[in-house]
Amino acid sequence: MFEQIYAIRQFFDAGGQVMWAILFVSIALWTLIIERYWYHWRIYPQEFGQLRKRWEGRTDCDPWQARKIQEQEISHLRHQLLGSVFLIRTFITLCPLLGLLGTVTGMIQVFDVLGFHGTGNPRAMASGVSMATIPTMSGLVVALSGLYFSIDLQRRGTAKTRVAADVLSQYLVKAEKK
Amino acid sequence: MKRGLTVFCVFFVVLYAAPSVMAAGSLQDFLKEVQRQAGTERQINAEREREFGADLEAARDQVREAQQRLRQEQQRQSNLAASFDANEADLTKLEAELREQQGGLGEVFGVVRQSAGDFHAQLMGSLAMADRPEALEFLAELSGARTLPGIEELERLWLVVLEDMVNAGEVAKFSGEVVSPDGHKQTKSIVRVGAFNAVADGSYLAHVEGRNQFLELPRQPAGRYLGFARDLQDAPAGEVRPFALDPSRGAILSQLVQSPSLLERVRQGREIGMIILALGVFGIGLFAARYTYLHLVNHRVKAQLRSGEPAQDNPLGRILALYDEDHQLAPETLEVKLDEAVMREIPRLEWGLTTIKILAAVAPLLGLLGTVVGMIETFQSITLFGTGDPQLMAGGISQALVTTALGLTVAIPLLFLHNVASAKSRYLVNVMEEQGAGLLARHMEKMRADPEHV
Repeated sequence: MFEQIYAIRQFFDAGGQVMWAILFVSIALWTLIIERYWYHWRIYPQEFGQLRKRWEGRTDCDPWQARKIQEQEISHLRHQLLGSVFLIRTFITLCPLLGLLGTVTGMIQVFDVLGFHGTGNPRAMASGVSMATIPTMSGLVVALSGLYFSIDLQRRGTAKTRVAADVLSQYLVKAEKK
Repeated sequence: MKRGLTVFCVFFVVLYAAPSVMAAGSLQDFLKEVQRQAGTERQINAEREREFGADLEAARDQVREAQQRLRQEQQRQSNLAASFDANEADLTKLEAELREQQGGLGEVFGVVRQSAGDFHAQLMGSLAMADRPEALEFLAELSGARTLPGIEELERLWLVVLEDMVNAGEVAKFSGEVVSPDGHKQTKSIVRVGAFNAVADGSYLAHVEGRNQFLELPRQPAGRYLGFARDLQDAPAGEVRPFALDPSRGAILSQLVQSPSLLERVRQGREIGMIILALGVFGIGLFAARYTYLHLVNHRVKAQLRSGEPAQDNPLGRILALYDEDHQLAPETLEVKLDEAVMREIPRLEWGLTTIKILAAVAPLLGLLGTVVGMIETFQSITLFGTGDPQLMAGGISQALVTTALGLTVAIPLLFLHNVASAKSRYLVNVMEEQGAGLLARHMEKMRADPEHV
């Protein structure tokens, strides 16, 4: 256990300060993604069920008003479904940028070593090079790992909103026929 | 010959000078006087000649004596030369004998002297020898000695080297002089980790080569490593503790001192760096102002959603108030009025967000500009001084990179903050645009159901 922690620590030290920012962003990103899937899986069906129940028995209203109220509810639903997808996408954009920042700071380190030792010491330069490459790699890995899920969540969100709009408008059509 | 000339001159002067001196005296007196004086002169001259004769004799004696001495010395010289030659011959014979008897040992002594010199140079900088100055002195003496080393000295040489090897693998505690960055000298308890690092009071030390002294590094590594150092110092003997070691024997630590601090680093970015930072500060200020406003509006909108009565202090309230103004409106007209009201509210919610986005986009571009300017400077220095000095080039390049780094450090938070603020404003616009109509419809329903309000 101690060895694993040490290895992680070493990885972070080799990557420099930027690694902590990338770690923070990746934790935030994955918390949001997991929270979204939990919402889709558990909370959304309940909410949608309640909404359907409310509209099933409803017949006593002006069609314009009913449509508007339905639109409002669907918009609310869409906001619920897609709210933090926006933030997830922001985090995914930030990750490669943070990696780039790490690359630049690593390069600064490399040129510092060049200024101090000259070109004669490639080993001393190696720490700067690892500082330049590890954050880029980590940033890309975090961004790529989140990319699929962000697109998937977006797709699911829009699809579910569309389905909900269809279902609710059918109730409305039924009510008007009566 | 010279003496005769002098005598003649005296006569001459007297003969010619007398008539003018003795003009009034009788010639008889003058003659007598001259005769008398000539007599005495003759006497004096005879005396002087005698004297000269005696001197000549003495000088001849001296010459004889000197010649004898010369003969003696020449004799001695030839004697000495003979004995020198004999000694030389002896010496050659003895040296040949010595060489013969030394055999391979002559080379061994040469090697001893050379390796004593090498070890001295090597152990001067070695931490393992920091608390043993007498061993270093011994090595210096041995390497400079003209005489052949004895058995004890030979033994001591390899013992010293062996001791260094053993010490290099040990953690030792000893007291020594530590010079703090402000030049204060203090005797402290120093913990030496092999030949690699020395720490005192939880801070890393640099070893001054040749002098038995330690310098406290003015810039220390990260705090957790210092914690290790303190931990090691307090640890009882024989216990294993983690410690951050500099395997380059202090080179990495001394590089740490050389590397510039964050502020110095930022200054390397020069004017463009300052512009980027100013834009960043402006962007964050703008975000703070906008976010506070949006937060306030959001708060009021939420209060509005809870209460039925439309209030004038929030956009949603103003939209709901449309119905209260005129109850007889047709739904189509109401919708048009609603759209108008929403259009009026949107700019107030979105104002400033585009500026933040532009700042976030401009900052990396400015960083790029700084990089290009720095590269131009670097290439100018290459044109002037050639590529011979990588350190000259490195300065310009790191300066170029600092602006890129600054551009990114400003752009990343601004991008994030823009997203946060625009998410909030989008939510509010969404509430008005899509939910406004619905809320209005609910409001109308409630009003009709409750006729005494109409």
